[in-house]
Amino acid sequence: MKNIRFCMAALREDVLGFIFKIVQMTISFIIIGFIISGINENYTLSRQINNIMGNQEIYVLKDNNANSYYDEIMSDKSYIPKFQELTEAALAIQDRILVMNNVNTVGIDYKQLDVLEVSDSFFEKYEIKGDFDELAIRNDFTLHRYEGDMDSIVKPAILGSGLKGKYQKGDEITDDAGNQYVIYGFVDDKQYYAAPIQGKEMNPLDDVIITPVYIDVNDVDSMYFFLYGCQFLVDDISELDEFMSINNKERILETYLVSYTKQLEYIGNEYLNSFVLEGILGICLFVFAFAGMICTMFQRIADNAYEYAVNILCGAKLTDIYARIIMEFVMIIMTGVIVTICIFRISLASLGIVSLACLCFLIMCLFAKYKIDFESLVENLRSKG
Amino acid sequence: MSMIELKGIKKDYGKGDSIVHALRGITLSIEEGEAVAIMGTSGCGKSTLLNILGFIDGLSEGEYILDGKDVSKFTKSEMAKYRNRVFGFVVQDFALVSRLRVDENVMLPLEYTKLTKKEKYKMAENILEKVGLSEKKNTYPSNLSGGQKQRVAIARALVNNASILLCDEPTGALDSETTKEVMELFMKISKENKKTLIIVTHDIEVAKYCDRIIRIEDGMIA
Ligand SMILES: Nc1ncnc2c1ncn2[C@@H]1O[C@H](COP(=O)(O)OP(=O)(O)OP(=O)(O)O)[C@@H](O)[C@H]1O
Ligand SMILES: [Mg+2]
Repeated sequence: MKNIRFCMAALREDVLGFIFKIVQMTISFIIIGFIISGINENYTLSRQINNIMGNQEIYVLKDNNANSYYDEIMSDKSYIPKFQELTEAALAIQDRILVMNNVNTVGIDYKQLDVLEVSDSFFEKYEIKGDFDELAIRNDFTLHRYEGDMDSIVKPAILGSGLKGKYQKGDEITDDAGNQYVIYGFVDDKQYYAAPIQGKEMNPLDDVIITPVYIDVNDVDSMYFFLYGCQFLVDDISELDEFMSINNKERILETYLVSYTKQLEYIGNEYLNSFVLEGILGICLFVFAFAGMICTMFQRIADNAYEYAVNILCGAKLTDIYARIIMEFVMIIMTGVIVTICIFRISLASLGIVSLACLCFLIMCLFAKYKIDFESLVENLRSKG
Repeated sequence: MSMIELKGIKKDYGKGDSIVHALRGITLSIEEGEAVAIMGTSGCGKSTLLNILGFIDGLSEGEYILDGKDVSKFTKSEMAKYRNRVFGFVVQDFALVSRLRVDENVMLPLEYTKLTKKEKYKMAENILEKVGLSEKKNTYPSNLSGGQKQRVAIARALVNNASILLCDEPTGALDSETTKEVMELFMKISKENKKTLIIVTHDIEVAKYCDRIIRIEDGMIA
């Protein structure tokens, strides 16, 4: 108690300096916290996605060509049979195909929803839980090959968890473009899927409409999007050899295969690069803040040595003196820790900051111990005459 | 049995070539309630002896029995407690904290006790009255004269009811008139309360107030 009081008295002489140190320390803690949580998130995501893949690997087709090529094949009718052949080759291994397309959005009752065109294995592979009939999924979410009028089809649809209150199972809805859906069910809260090809994150399934894939085999556009939406889940890349050889022989798509693992690495590196600058900033700020604290501590020890000695004369223990010196910095560090815990809650970032704070505290104690010993303190009392 | 018993106390500072033998074997005993003056030339080891007596310095060799207890067996916190409750220190340059008011300075030893704030203030007030500084309790040490400062220091030494007063040149910074004043106050308080008084001094006039004079020469009793 008395030590807190003494410490407060010392602080009152330099309130601004104290506040400045608190701000500096707290900001550096927050930045470091963000970096820790960012790196952790990156790592956790890689692990989650790797879990989904298991021993298998996911490959996607990556586009090699410019728009002019796309325009060319769209207008050239001779490409239709070639695309049909390639589509058939993909469908031949359709039990290996996962998510299709997630690039469209539709408006339904003035709400924008991401359209996720999937195959039945999507639910199984990402372990999507929800209020829907698994058998119906297996039957109706297979890949639909069709020729003709899309407008007449009523597509089965599973809606995101955010739409639960709004519609009922069995409702029929129509989107802005006139497509019709019948609702098969809803996804539970907090369900995610990954599409690293578009950026590394686990995408939530709150505002989505999930429907099966319809491939119009007379439309190059439809087949083109189907092929580029394919995610091939294979034990070995050789399973895709035949598909690729057809493509290469007929020179259909200017494309190559990319694995999720490669993509995760690539995104991960980009992620980490973006942390380097922040990291340097955070660590610099921290080092300055900490060095400032040590300097202030030495300053306080030098300024108040006589007072400390008088206190020893009056019955203070050396530990009382240590406590008095360190208290101020405990307050600074604790403020930073409390703010970071408020931001990051119970997480690896908080844990990291708490450990860092403990380390600071330990170093401060060591410095204090090294700077103050009983004899040299008491030496101050000898008359200087 | 004596209050303080020293047997062959030696104290060295430093090591090797730069070693200083500040005390070379001091044996003496001081009774409870006795007033003792310690005299000797500069550098002979008076302050060192006083610091050892008051637990603010350790000894290199010898035995120190305080009130029948072997001091070498005391822990650090026991020693702190003794500094707080048993010893009262008064030094030449007063050892006042300039940041604190007079009454706060006097209360300093009480901060290391479990008394309430009210009790502390009351005790400080009482003792300040005894040394005649009641009106000055709210001023800061820098606004006091030398004699007044020394009286504050004496008040602080007495506030926790110390039974042994250790004074290192308590009048060294005072003129002869003030010295007399301070010494009379000192003797009055210590005789009234049967306190043991040990005063290091150069001033034979000061030593004359004491029951006994111990002379030290080059770290030994002459
Ligand atoms: N911390 C220290 N380190 C080394 N030598 C010391 C230390 N303290 C005291 N000494 C030496 O010990 C000897 C005794 O010092 P002490 O202060 O006890 O003398 P003193 O009798 O009090 O002198 P004065 O009358 O000048 O105050 C001196 O030679 C001094 O230089
Ligand atoms: Mg001396």
